Amino acid sequence: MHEHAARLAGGLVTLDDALQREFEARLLESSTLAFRVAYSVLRQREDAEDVAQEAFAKAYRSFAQLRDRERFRAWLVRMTWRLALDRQRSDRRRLARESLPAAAADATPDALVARERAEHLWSAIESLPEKLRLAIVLSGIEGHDVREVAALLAVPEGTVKSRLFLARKLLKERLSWMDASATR
Amino acid sequence: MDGRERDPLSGEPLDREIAVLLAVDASPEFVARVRERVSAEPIGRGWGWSWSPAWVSVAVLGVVLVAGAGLWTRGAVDRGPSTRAAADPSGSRAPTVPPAQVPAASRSVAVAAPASVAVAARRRESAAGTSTRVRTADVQISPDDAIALRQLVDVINARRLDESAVPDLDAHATALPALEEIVVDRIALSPLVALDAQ
Repeated sequence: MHEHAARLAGGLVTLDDALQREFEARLLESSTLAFRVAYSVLRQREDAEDVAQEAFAKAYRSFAQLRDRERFRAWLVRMTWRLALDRQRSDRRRLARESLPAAAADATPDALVARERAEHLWSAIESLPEKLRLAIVLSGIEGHDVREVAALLAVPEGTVKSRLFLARKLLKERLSWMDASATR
Repeated sequence: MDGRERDPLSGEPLDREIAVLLAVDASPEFVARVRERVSAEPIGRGWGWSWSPAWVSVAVLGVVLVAGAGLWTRGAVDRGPSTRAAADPSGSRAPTVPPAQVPAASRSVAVAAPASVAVAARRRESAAGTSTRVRTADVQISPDDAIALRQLVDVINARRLDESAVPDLDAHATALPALEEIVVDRIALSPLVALDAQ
C-alpha cells in the first residue's frame, strides 16, 4: 500500500513537472499577446499587466484543458479581453490615460500632432463594435495574419477578413476628417 | 516571408498606425510576477490527472468489488431453498415461516414454493422495497390443504400412487347439452314520425 502511494505521489510529481514546463513555455510565448490585448482596452500599463496576470492565473488553474498551444492562446485572448473590459467598466472614472500624459513643455509641434492623432485613433478603435474591435486589435499585435487571427478567435478566416474589412472601413470614415484637415 | 498568406490590406498606413499604437511592452518584471502569482497554487490537472494509471486501477478495483458483491448476494438468494431442503433429512417441505410468525387471523401456514418462484417473489419484494431479511410466506393455504398436498407429493415421490384411488373425473362429469340453433326474430323498426305530424 505504501509502495502504491509512493508510486502515486511519484506520478503526481512527474505530471506536475510536465505541466509546469508546458505552462512556462506558454507564458513566455504569450505574455506579450496577453499584455497587448489588455493594453488595447485599458491603455494603462499597470492595469494591463494586472489583467494579463489575472488571465494567466486563471489559465494556470485550468491548464490541463489548455495544453494545446492554439487552444491556450485563443482562450487567453478571450479571457484577457473579457477581464480588461470588466476592469474598464469598473474603472470608468479613471481619466488619466497613458497615451495622453500631461503635455510636456519641450514637446515639439510634430510630437503633439502625432499624440493627438493617436488619441483619435484610439477613440475610433474603441467606438467599433466589439467583434470588429478585437479583430483589428489582434491583427495589429505581433504582425498576426488572417489565419492567426482566425485561430485566436476560433472563427473561419473568411469571417476575419470581413470583420477586418468592416473595421478598417469604419476607422477610415471616422478618421477622414482628420486627414482632410491635415491636407489643408 | 514566412510562406503564409498575408492579409492584403495589412500594408496600409492605418494598419501600421494601429501596430505602432499597440507596440507597447510589459515591464521586464511582468513574467516574473506571473510566475510568483501562480506558484502559490497547484496547477490545474483536470481530467488529465484523473485518467492517470493510478486512478484507472482504483476504478477497476472498485468495479470488481461491486461486481463481486453483486454475485455473492445473488448466489445467496439462489442457494436459499436448496440449502433448507438439504438441512431437512426427512425430505419433507416444512413451512418456511413458523406458525408463531403467521398472523393468527389468517389461520393458514406457509408452504415453500419452488426455488424459481421463491426467487421471483423475493425480487418482487425487493423491488417493492420490503426487507428480505424476514422471510415471508410465498404461498398461503389452509392447514388441511397443506397436509393433503404434502401427502400427495410424498406419495408421488415414492411412486406409491394408487391410480384406482384417483377418482375418474370423466365418469363423473355430466354430459354437455347438445348445441341448438339460436333463432332470433327479426326486429322491425317503424320509421320515425315527425313531431309536426302529431
